[in-house]
Amino acid sequence: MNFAALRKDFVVVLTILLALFGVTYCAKVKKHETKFSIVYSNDVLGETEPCG
Amino acid sequence: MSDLLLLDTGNLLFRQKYYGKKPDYRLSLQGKKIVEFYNAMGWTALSIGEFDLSFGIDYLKELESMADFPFLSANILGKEGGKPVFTPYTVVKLSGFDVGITSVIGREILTGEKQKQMGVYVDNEFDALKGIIKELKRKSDFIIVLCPTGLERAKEIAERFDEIDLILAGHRPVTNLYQPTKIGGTLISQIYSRGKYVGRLDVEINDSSRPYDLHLEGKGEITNFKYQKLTMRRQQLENVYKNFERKKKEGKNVDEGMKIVKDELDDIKKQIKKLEKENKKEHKNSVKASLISLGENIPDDPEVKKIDKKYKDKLINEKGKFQEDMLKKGKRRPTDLAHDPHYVGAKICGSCHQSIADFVKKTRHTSAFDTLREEKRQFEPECFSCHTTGYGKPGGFTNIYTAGELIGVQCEACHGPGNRHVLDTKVNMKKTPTANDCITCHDVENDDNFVYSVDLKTIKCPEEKR
Repeated sequence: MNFAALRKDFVVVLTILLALFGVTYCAKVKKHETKFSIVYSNDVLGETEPCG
Repeated sequence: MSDLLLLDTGNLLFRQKYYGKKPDYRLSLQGKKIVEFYNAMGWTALSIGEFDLSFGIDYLKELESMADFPFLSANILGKEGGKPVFTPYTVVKLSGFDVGITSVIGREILTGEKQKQMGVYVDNEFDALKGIIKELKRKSDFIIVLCPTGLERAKEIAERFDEIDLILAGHRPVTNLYQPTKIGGTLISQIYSRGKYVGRLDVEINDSSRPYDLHLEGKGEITNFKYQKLTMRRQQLENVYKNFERKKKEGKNVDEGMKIVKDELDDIKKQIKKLEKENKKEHKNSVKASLISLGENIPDDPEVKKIDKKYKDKLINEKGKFQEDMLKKGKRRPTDLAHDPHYVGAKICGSCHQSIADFVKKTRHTSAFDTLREEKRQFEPECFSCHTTGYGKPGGFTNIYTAGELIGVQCEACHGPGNRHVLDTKVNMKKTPTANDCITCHDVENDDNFVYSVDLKTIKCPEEKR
């Protein structure tokens, strides 16, 4: 049995698995959570028709 | 407190279309005063609406140079196209979250002639937004579009650009949509105008993968009939209970009735809560909407009040004496007096109806113009129609300096112009103004405590003593 070759294959497979795990984990990590508020007004002075 | 954005959807600076005219002293101060107010409040961004353009681009650019916040418009361009005249968009950095904000004005709102008059070209909203939205998608995490376009155009924009997270709509007709509606992934909201309310949206993002699919909290997704029936019954019982509480304060014995109503109310609330729990879904991103009334519940900001006083004093110092002199000297125009019918003034009425004139002098109507002086608002023509008699009416006056004897709310404000009755006393005038007559001035906007049947008694003229 060629243990050196077997060990090499094992390391490659492990590396690939770790890389896959890393990619999956990072994709799931939330970029950020946030809370903010918006206060808004509209047409504040309001329309009036010119008088006269 | 979480990060806060303060936004306006346009028509903030002026309330009429003064197109083609130069701002008079009062209006030029008004624009500057409002910009100072909003600087003091730490405003985030302002959208340009059609009335804001009243005095042209140069004046608006002057105001923009005073502002600590951007004047936004993606589609108001220089004459014959070219670059946007104002800031096309802004990106506001909150704590680790960037919000992109832009604005478009309704193209159909400004005619080609008006555009020419103002030296601008208004681009098609969709064309203008195409490039801006692409850029904002790259530069920000959340996209808001301010739309002084009217609600229908705002909905079309939402349908076209699903990258937009929130649209705040402006322009007429104003609907009360403080609970936003959803078109695709875009929330759209519009609130009441005339500064009586502001809308508030509290946004919570827990999962930042786009689209956010914001869930509107509080708005029932439960549409089954039983839930609707229960919520209506709850509303009814709450009103009845409030009535009982009022009667109890008056000393009436309503304990038994109150208990019956309360027991039923508690039971209904339990049933509603149960239904809501059964229907609740888990939402990662949500928005809570509320409407804040800007009444006496909100105290005046001292800094804003100081700025207001500064501008009012400036106006009084510059124009106050002139106006008072003109009010004393001012005479009615012959053309107004020649009109039939025309207003004659309370002095003429009092020459025959002395006892009534004495009564009217003691009512608040007579001092209506004084209340403007007290508020230092005697220069605002928008107020004259309700604080004088016959302003803007045929046979009345159109310029405060030709008001003559028609200052204050006088007999003819309620009973109509009196020249025909003066010439022939057999000609009757309107004896009692109707509710519609009164709410011309005592409307919800200006007097939301007015109740015709109650308030008429305070100014109703007594039977005449002859």
